[in-house]
Amino acid sequence: MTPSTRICASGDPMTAPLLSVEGLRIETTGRKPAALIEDVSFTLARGETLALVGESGAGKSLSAMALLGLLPADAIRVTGGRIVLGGEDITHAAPRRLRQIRGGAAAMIFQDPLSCLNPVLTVGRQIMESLKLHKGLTGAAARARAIELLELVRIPEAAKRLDEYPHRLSGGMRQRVMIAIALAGEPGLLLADEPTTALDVTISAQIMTLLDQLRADIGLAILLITHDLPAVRMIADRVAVMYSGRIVETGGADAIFAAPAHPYTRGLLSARPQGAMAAGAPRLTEIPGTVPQPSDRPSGCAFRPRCPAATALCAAERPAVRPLGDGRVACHHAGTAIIQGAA
Amino acid sequence: MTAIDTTLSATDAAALAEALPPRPPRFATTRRVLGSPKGVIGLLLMLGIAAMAALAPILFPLGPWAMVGRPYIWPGAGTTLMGTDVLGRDMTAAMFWGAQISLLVGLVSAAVSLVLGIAVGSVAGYFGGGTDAVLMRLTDAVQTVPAFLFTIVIVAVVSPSITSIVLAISLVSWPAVARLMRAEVLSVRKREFVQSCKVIGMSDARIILTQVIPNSLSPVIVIASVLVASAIITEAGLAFLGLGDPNVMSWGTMINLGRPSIRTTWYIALIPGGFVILTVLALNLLGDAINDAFNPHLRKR
Amino acid sequence: MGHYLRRRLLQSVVVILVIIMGNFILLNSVPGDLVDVMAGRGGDMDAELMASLRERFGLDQPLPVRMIDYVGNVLTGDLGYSWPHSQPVLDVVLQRLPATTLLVVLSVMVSVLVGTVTGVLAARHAHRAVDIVLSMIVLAFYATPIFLTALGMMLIFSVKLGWLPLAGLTTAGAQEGLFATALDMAEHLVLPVASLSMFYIAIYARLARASMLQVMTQDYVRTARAKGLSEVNVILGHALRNAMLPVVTMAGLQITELFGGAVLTETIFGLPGVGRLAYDAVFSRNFPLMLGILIVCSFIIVLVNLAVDLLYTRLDPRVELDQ
Repeated sequence: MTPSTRICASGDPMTAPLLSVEGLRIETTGRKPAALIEDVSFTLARGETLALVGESGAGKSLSAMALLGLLPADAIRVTGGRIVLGGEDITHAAPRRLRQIRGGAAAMIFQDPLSCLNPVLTVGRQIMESLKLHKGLTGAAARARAIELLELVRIPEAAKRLDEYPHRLSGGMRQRVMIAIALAGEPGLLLADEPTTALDVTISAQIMTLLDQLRADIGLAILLITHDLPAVRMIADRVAVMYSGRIVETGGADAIFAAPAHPYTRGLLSARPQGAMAAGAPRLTEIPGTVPQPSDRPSGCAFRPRCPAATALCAAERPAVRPLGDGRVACHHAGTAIIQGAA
Repeated sequence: MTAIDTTLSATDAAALAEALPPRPPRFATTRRVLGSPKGVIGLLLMLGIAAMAALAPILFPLGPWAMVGRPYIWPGAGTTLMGTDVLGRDMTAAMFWGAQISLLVGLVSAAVSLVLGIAVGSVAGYFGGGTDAVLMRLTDAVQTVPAFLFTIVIVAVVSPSITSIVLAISLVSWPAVARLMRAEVLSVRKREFVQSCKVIGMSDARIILTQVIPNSLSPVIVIASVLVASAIITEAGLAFLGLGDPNVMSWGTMINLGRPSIRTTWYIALIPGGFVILTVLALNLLGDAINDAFNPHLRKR
Repeated sequence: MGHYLRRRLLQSVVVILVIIMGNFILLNSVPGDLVDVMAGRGGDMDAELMASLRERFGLDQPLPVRMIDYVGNVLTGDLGYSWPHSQPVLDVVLQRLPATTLLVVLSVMVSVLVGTVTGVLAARHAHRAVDIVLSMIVLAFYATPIFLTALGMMLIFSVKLGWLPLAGLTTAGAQEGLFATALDMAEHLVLPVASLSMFYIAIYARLARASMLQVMTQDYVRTARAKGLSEVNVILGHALRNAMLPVVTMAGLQITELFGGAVLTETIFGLPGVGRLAYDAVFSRNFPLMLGILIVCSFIIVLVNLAVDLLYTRLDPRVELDQ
């Protein structure tokens, strides 16, 4: 029985979310553990794209790595919460089971496709390796399937590309290869960690279109981690905004873009897309200050020192996540006149 | 720098000062080397060897060749600390005097290889083109010939003496320095401060000597201790084969003297062997510490 | 790929020519020429005969002409004549080559294998007990010159324990038969190969450890893990292949250095190889033989370096871009 059939067997696949994360907490190990991620919860259904947005250091990538059990165990650990994938609690799954899930039920693509592909192995070998591992395909069958996968990610002359080395391909082509590798195990969930940050604008749009087509065609659930807001607007169904280890606002993409409730989201959306954003180190010039280090987060609301609408309440009490409209937000003043005025 | 200043306008000088690389705080590297256990152990051992070399004439004024008793007295058995050799010479005296030779050969050979390598490497890297090609093929050629074999042949042709040994060791060891230097110079010559010097019309020789070389030295300094260590090993190897300077007592000479009787009185070969190993170990430890100090980012891994 | 290799081939030819010319200069800095040597051997020889001999051997020609002659001779395989052997130098060297080749090849194999495994093991347990113990052993290996290792091993395993033969490549009057001979040879080679390998085991261990630690932080290793590969497959299939690149480069260098190290081990263990031949040539002041050995070894090394380059382009397809 393959992992994907097991997923369908447990619970009703049409109503239950494919992925649900509840109260996830990640801490550094060592004498003075610091919480990197606190109380992160979200769900993701089949055929849905959820964008996880926020500045660098908010904990977006960390959350994704935790989903696949890819955190370096000697330095960073999941210390609370639950990760349920296809009805199975995988929070503390055995290493063996996690390996089956990685590249099987859930696959991941990363930021820089050149450094993420092994430079000394051909593209074909890197795809066929996953096919062998998760589908048991070898020899001619694996090769044929690898060509199919390359065609699926719209790589022209797929059969010829199979024997190329990564450095021979263009940036966009490499990311398509990464996606092909990810699709080899026929995953239900794709974690895309800033997949277009290293690419230029037009290529980036092509990759986003491809991801959206794959979502529609094969019912992929995509967790898109990015600070590329135009891309989010283009393909995301829902958006979760992260700030300093917490999700501060979630909601439908259209609703959030139309009426952001959290002051941080407002700042994020009003930031002009600029060169620095694409280069991977976004600085929100519209919001003064930087994301605090996990070890010295301020009391109360972590965004308080940078927030134009902060009050004494924000310093005294950490805002709980509460429903607001169709979404949820963690701000004392969201939806009140204070926010409207400050922004 | 005063000579240059007179030829510059004030604004040029200011621009040049701006473009020059910032100087690191003095002694920062030294402090980092001494902060690591490797560096401290290495340095202490080297100081010990240096002390042996310095004290040899005071403690053993008769020299290493004087016969003090019966041959083949085992260490601790007679009046001497480390016994006597095949001809009844004091092994302790030989070890102290031998330290002089090893250090001398090691330091001078390393210095000569550094000078040769830095000269070839900086000229090749700075000028590039045909000069570079010619010098690098020469470097290739020297590196292709097996170093120890080459050293043996040079010493045999010139006849063994401290000078010919130092010369031979230097002649085979400069290419590594030249390569490192060239690679570093290739990146340094593109930097702003070198370009500024060209713009204000400084001569190539002056740029190389005052700007390029001082700013390319760190990787070369890092391998200096390796050069000293390998020179000491080579000298000992040559002396072991009977190609040492016949007029001086080195550790290798004593190993060679002890070899025929290695089945019985093995201490004659093993004691000087131990000193060679200890010295090389000390230099390696020191080299590692210096390397770590120059590349602090590597230590975190 | 073709372009890169063509360039390396051309460079190699230049290097060979430079080496031959360097040898000529070295040969000419020896006091006395071939005729002086013959005169010394044959007792009295009058000046007229010596002059006519010089003319016959072309020794009366100006230096540049003789240099071109010499280069031509060497390139056609004429490395001169070794009087003590009454044979051409090339023949003498070639007879001794198999023993040295065996020694060098075995030593490279042993040191690459043991060194890499040690280094990978140390990297896997970096900064823990295993790593610290291994790095101390490696440090000791790294500080011990080849001839001391050889002497020490001979003293312990041949003299004191009597486990292994003292010297030579075969036992005189031993059993016939291919298997028995091979076994006998293997016994004789254990100590020379081990002593020639120890220093390089240390080098490969340090190299592989550093390289492995560096490679394991690379993004493609994370990709391999994200694929669901087991840690063993991540290391063997993805990390090691990249970590081996500096090891391959070092292997080329090691072969160069082993021809020098062979002089010491072959002399100590009495092996009939090129190294021992060089030692004898030095002490019988047989300069044509010495330089002949230098040229043959250099030529082999040039070929080895080309082979290493070829292997490297196979292992790392990016090489062509760096040029």
